[in-house]
Amino acid sequence: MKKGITLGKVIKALILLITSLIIILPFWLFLMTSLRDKTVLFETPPKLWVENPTLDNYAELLLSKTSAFPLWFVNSLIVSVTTTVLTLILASLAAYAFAKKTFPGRNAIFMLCMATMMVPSTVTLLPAFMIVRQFHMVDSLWGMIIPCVTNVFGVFLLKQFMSTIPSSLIESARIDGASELRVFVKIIVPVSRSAMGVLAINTFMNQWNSLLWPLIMANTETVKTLPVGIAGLKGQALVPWNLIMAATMLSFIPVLIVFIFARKSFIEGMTAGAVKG
Amino acid sequence: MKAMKTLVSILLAGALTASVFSGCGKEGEGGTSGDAKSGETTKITFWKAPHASNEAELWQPVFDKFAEEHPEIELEFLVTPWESWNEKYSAAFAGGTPPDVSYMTEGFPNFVAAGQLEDLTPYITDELKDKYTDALWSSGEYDGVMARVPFLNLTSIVFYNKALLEADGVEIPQTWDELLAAAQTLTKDTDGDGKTDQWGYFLNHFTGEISIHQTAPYIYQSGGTFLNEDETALGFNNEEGIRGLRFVTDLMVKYKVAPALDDYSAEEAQQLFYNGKVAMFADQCQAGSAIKTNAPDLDFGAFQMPAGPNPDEAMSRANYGGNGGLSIASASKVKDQAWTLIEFLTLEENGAIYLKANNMLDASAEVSKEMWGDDEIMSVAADAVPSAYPVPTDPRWFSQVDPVIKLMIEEILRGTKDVETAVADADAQVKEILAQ
Amino acid sequence: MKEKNTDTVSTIVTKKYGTKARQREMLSGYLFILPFMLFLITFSLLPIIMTFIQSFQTGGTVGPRTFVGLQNYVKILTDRQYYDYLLNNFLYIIMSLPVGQFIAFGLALYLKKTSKLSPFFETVYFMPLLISMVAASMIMSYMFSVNGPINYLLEIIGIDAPNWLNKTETARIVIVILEIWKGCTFYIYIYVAALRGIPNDFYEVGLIEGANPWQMLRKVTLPLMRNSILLCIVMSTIWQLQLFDSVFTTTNGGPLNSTKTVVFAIYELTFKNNLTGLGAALSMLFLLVILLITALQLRLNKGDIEY
Repeated sequence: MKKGITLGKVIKALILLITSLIIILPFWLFLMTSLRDKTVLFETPPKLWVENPTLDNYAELLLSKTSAFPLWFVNSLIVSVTTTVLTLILASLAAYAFAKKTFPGRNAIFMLCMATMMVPSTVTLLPAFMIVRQFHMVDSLWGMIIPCVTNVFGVFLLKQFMSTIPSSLIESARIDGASELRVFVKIIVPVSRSAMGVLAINTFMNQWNSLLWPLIMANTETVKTLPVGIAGLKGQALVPWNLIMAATMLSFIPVLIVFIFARKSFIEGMTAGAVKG
Repeated sequence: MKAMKTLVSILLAGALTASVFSGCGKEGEGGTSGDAKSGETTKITFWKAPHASNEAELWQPVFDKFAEEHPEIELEFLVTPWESWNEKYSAAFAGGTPPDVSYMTEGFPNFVAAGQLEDLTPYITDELKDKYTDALWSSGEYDGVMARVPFLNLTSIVFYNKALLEADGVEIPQTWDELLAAAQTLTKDTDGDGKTDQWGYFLNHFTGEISIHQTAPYIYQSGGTFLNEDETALGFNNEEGIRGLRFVTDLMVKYKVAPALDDYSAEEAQQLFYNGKVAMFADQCQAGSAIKTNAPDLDFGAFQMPAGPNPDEAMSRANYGGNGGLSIASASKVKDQAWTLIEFLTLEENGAIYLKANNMLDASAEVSKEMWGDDEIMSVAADAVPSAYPVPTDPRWFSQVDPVIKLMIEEILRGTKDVETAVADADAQVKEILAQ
Repeated sequence: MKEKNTDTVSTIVTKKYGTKARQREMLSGYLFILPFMLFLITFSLLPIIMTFIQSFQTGGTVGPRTFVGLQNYVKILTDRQYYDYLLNNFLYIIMSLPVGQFIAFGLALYLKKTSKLSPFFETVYFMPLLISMVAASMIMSYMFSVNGPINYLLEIIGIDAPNWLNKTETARIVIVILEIWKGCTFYIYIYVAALRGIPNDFYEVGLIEGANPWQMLRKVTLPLMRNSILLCIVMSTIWQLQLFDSVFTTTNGGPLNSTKTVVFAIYELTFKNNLTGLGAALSMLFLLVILLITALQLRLNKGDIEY
């Protein structure tokens, strides 16, 4: 095979490069704002650099005794991780059933699940709050986790991937005497790993950035998550954008780092082992 | 078997973490935890949206003092972001977990209409009543329920760039005519490219949202009011009101001494003054601290809003005084203790600690004058306290009428409608809303 | 010999083992969905039912309600502005969905092969997911502001810089670009996962038969990707139709209410105007619209895919 620099390769490189720049630029601007000593959000005329960059904003968030940033961070971490784990469990169990089992009403139930995604959360917010209150989960991290563990998109996603698993595989395992749960854990889950990875990322990021629901749930300062805490930094006359951007940067850099390490096991390389042969 | 074990251990881990965190949170009855009267302390909750990014820090000295004087009351303070304020408070009140004491702004009439705010009349002493103006008290009252005790004030004043005015020998304008003349002198094309780069005036607006309080002062300065006397229609669909509205919108549309809506984004607009591109602009007094932080080298001053034709002296310099006070939830189980806090805060030696640190005025004109007598900018703001116009407290005002007026202003400023037509159309809509 | 993956386990089970096993199969089906459904019913379905009931009442977020029958529905259906908002929704979707999916799929094709640069690109494309739509909206507002970077560049090239956020058509374009920037990279990962799941055997067969890249794409890749493509299109539609945060933060519905969407209207009715009954009614009507569109999409794709 000729290893030349073909036109196709050049176009590919250009496209990848340009799209990457389009994505990185806004983050660069955020970073610049976080290093600024003034509170303005962005400069006009536009500049790519900041005069007198300073780390004061970061220092204030991390080192100041009155800063609640570390607390917000920990809360966000707990909420996001727990939600992700629970979501994966519930969604994969349900997706397997929808993909591979027949039972009366299966399609109708699935459409019903889909329908729940079509009502904007704006209107269901207050009724949901009342229900959560009945369970005494208001003002707790649990209140932020439990109502969010049902991810219909997750079920749909896993269902699509699971339905490509050949039924003969499952059947042969059953002949060998495996129980339903064993089949699920030993066969279905490993094969769906990349899809579950996508779902895990999606769930985690949604919870990490979720503002409205944790805001409603947090009635004390100690259960605030990052987005809620950061929103509280916005005063009226003076919005300290430099501080807020620093907080925003601190809130996603760790996540980015985790992603870089976890990327390999979730996204790379999973040629669905089962499909061989 | 190994997989089963893994599954089980995941679930167990989940359950363990669960039990740990349920300890973290309260048992759901968040706000009204009056039954926590363990014989020693009663707990009250106080919610407020932040007027500063280090809000809790500024309040701490006040709370420490409160704890000293009232050891039997345990105070829990929550900073509630402005973002999604409606959702948070609606959920809390509707769901039965409201804060005992809360800082309420324009949204409070809705809660009164739903019977969620306590009538504070029995608690208010004559001494307290005398402390604040009638206009302030009436801003906190709706449907006979005195729901809100005035607390802070943020009057609006005109900030100006000293160097720019001096350079053109412009004196501080005292009347509308002087304001217009000054703005015209100060609006120029400094680099000869045919476009105005220096503006005499500026009608700033918040991100994407036009506030009616940028134009309303001029309506009042002219003799109009928001609503007519029996609150059935607009109070400025008349000669006086239209005159005021026309004056301010003409600054942008006709005389072009203020940038058009299209010229700059809200972000850029904010920086215009810092960069010396705007000579004068009106804003709430807290803007002074923003200017100091972002343009430390800018030499600026402030003056009271120039007088309009309104024969009433105070109202001729009408300005937007902000709109906020302290309320107690009807569902609160510890109302007496809640009132103790409110009373404590209205005393100048207490509330003023926070207000001073936050560049705010006390709701009382005298206290404000005392607090800020020496400060060049804030003393002007203190003088403006008697001129703050009252805001209607009908719940439909904020939720339905305000959007109509906002749209009306946008139409005028964008030139799609002339003043009379816009006001007449808005009035028709408002009449319908208020007729329900 | 291609694997026919469309048999459910129960079909095979029934063929071989008879109805008792089939019943066990049914039971296990219900049991597997049970945990999920329990939570769904409690925290999603129940609030929706409560909203449905609320659509027949008047009253605010707090306080007493009165039953008014179909009044709210009539008010909505006879008010011209809601149809305008719906039109906005359709405009947004038509502009953003095909472009977004096309970009995501294209980039996924490029990223399919793992190479030394994969970590870099996969990380970069992950970045828009890290921030909230509100933060992304602020960036876009700045980018497209009158004297902002984009106009700055346009002026250098010599093109007339439009006033993006202050004219309706261009404001809509900004919102579409924002939605694509923030949203489309997510689908890359779904497509990559699906693409990497296609065993090489299929491609080898194609190569042996002398297919060029385009034919490979059409005859091998796309058909095998049907599941994930359908997933992405359906989900993207459902999410895009509920556009709100981007409009709220960039234009706040302006200029002159021209960029508003249905969910924006629902938000205003519920939390600004305090007319929760109307908000609920509008939500129910909108639910029907989305349901119809989704059902249509699923139907059009019946083919091989079993449900």
